[in-house]
Amino acid sequence: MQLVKFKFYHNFFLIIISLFLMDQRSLFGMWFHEWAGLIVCLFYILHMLLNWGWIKETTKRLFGKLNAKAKLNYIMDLLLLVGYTLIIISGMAIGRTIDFSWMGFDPQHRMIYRSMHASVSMLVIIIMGIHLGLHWDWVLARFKRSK
Amino acid sequence: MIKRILYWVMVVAIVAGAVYSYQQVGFGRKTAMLFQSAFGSGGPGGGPPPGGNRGGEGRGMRSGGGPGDAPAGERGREGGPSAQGSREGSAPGVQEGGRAGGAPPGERGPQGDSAMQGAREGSGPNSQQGGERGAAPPGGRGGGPGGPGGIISLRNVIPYTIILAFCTLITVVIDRAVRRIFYSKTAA
Repeated sequence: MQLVKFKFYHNFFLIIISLFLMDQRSLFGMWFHEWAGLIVCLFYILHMLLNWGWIKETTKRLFGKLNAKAKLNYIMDLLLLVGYTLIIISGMAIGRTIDFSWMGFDPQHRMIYRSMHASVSMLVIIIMGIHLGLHWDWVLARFKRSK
Repeated sequence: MIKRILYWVMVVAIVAGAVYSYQQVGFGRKTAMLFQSAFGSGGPGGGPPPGGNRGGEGRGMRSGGGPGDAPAGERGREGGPSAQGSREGSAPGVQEGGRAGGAPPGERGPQGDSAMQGAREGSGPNSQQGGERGAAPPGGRGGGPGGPGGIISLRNVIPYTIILAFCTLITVVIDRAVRRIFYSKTAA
């Protein structure tokens, strides 16, 4: 029960922080945007670890007997993973307050990374909405239980 | 009954808000950038609109005035040439401007307005400074948006929240509709 509660608050935190990270001016400026963006990665990894059982089971049964909703869910999760990975990589390439030059990003392609960072984050917010919608029953159940 | 009315009011508010937010955050433009860079139509120089009015978008806002404003202005000024370059569609233009300000300016063109709004509202020195820059011509000369200038600004988050709510709502509605159809079929 405690784990479910923790999951709920953890997910709630992820949504809120993701929304704040959508605009670098919304919380403490650019340095916060960059540092928080990096740190939030760890929370996403934790999110995956907390749901590792589901990921494992669904991966095993993906091409077998699995209902359509679970398949859609899985695809959305994969897209989210790809999206966040692209956001983080492009964010590192265009970082201003943290120096990632040691990673060897070509400054000539800064504009590409920049547009990738902006546009993928837009797509990710849509996918996140779908992800949330697919788990809406779970969210409602948590709310009802907390009452 | 009241619950139902509230539900529909909320739905209408989310849908209307999403349409407004879509325009507010430049959703279409930003997502189009991905395809432009992926298929090479825009190239690093970027799409057509970015150029001019994105020119000097500002760090002023991010820094909220104060010491951070100086670099902001500089970036803006550099943005101009790149903007022009991209408008002409020439790669060299991109390189020239892209160095310092060409790329970053791109994203925030529309912010000039908000900066000006901030200035008009006259809420402190930060927003006024931003306003001045925002008012600069869209040639890329320093358009630093001032905006709220605070440490925490919820205003920038609201459009994204509404878009997220909209996508969630649509998914829930479709999910329930599909379930209803599926269950009615299996029951029959």
